[in-house]
Amino acid sequence: MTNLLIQLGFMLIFAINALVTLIFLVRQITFSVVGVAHPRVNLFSKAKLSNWPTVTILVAAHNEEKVLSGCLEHLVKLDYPSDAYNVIVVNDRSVDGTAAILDAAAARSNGRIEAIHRVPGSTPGKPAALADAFARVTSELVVFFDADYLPHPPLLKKLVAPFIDPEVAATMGRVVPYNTQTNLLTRLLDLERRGGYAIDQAVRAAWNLLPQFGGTVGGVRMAALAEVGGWSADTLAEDTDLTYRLFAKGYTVEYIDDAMCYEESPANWHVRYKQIRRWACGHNQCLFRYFRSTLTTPHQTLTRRLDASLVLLFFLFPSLSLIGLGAAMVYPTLYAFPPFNFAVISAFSFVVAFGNFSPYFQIVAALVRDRQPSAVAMLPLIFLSSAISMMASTDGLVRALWGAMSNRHLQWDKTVRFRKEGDLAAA
Amino acid sequence: MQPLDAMAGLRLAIGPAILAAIFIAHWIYFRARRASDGQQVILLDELVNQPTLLSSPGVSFDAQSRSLIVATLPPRPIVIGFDRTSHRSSDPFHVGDETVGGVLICADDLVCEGVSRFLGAVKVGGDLIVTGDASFAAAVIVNGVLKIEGTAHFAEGVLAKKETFVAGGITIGSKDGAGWASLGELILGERLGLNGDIVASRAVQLKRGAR
Repeated sequence: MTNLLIQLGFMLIFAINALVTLIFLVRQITFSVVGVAHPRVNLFSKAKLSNWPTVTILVAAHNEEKVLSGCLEHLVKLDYPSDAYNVIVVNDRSVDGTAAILDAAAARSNGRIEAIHRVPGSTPGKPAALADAFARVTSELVVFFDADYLPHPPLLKKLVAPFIDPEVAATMGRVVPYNTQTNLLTRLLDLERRGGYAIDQAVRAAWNLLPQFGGTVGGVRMAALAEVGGWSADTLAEDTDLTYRLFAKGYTVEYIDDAMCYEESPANWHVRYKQIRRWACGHNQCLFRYFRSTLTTPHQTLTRRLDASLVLLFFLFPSLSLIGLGAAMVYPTLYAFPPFNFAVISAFSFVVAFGNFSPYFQIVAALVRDRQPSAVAMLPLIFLSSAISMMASTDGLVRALWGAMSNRHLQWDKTVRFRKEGDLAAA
Repeated sequence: MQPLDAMAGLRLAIGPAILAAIFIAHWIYFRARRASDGQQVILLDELVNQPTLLSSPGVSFDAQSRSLIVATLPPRPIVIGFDRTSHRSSDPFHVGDETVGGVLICADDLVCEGVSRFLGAVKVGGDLIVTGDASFAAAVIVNGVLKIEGTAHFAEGVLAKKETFVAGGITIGSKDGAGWASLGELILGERLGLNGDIVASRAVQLKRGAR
């Protein structure tokens, strides 16, 4: 009897794994095919508004002396009515030259840049830093940039235009790494970014599903933010948290494919691991909190609810795969190989192995869409970053479960910067 | 204690050896291809298709209206009591002789059959079909098809993500200010009143008897 239960348990693991993998595989392939055909022009970008809404740009900076001055130089040169936007930069307890750089830029900006210096001992992390800035926001919209970003002049209007749609509560642009040629990791991350933005986000927008608000290169409507309870600082994924709170209230996020901004990708595997772990932990926190409300909200169509719920499982999927792989390795050592067991293992292995290639389809489609098909040369190496992501996601899931059970505040891991003199030339 | 069996030791070493060989092969591949992987930083805006632009620079609204039939604001219609907060509809929404105040969000189609006025922004998840006389004071966003068989006046602007078929009359903008239209594709019949710009990302067809 015990033996039978154990075998059934293994079968259940294989069945769940295969089902989830199959669903993601079908979704990713469908998105890839559609994404290649989808036109790039965003119609919102062509709307010529006579009255542009007021905007506050928020930037959180923790030890960003290598990158902050470049970001601020770009922010004061945006093509937007000068009396309709201002910038608030939060120095989040930096111990390097960030504070001095910020104060100097604010002094030169004729009041456009406002500096906030958080005192030592404040709650760490970007969400908490931005919460301090929100107290000073009086505009209709806020737009977020990370301190290493280099927004070009037309970007702000592109991010703001979709707010003419009353259903849009947040907008998201496309993040483009500029340090792709640094090493193997930055090349692989560039591929992953392309698949995620140029295909997944773009098709979600085209099919009126729910694109993700990414917390940077994006804007939020203040009235909608107030309606869903304001900015949340008790999560590691404040962007995902906000996306799903807005979704449950009937709002949507608009992804603008041609609103592109350069960013710096991590160039170190350890830094990348910690970044993925933080994303996975925060994303799974949102899974625990919002899965039910996402599936049941009366303000959204069934298709939107199903896809949004599927996206909440994104960072659970690597852990499921890891459990399935482990089970597939252990199972043959416990049970002999009669035809049934062999057939089960083979079918499971085929589905999971093929299904784990689903991101590859999106990456290839994105390279075709970006007109750089020869970059597919790096694709065979993507399994390296996938393996790291799988381990980091599982680590993040464990931390999220621990945080949920123990009700403890989880620590924010800062992403280390690598920019050197001359790196801005590409941007 | 018996020494470790040689075959067992070999079996234990096979797995790590295969993994190491895979990593080495990939490393060699990376070194060989990185100089010519074709991976470039995307130049911003270089991949955006240029849409078709119709505009009326230097042409007064009155001059245009002499040769074209322009939808005018209808006489005082019946107010059905929508308040200033947003109104949501998940079914096809039919509007007759009435004024809709506040924001209107329709998850499905919106059909304007009579003499209707919309004072706030309008978002249509499906198709917007105008068979009567409709005027929109604020921005209109249509996820589906925009089909005008009567007359429609978009004082501020209209965005239609799919096709726009105009068999009746369409007016963009007003005497008080320029408007805008950002369309997927425009198939235009006879009557256009334009003070502002129309941008169509795919095609503009000017023909009689549009669907």
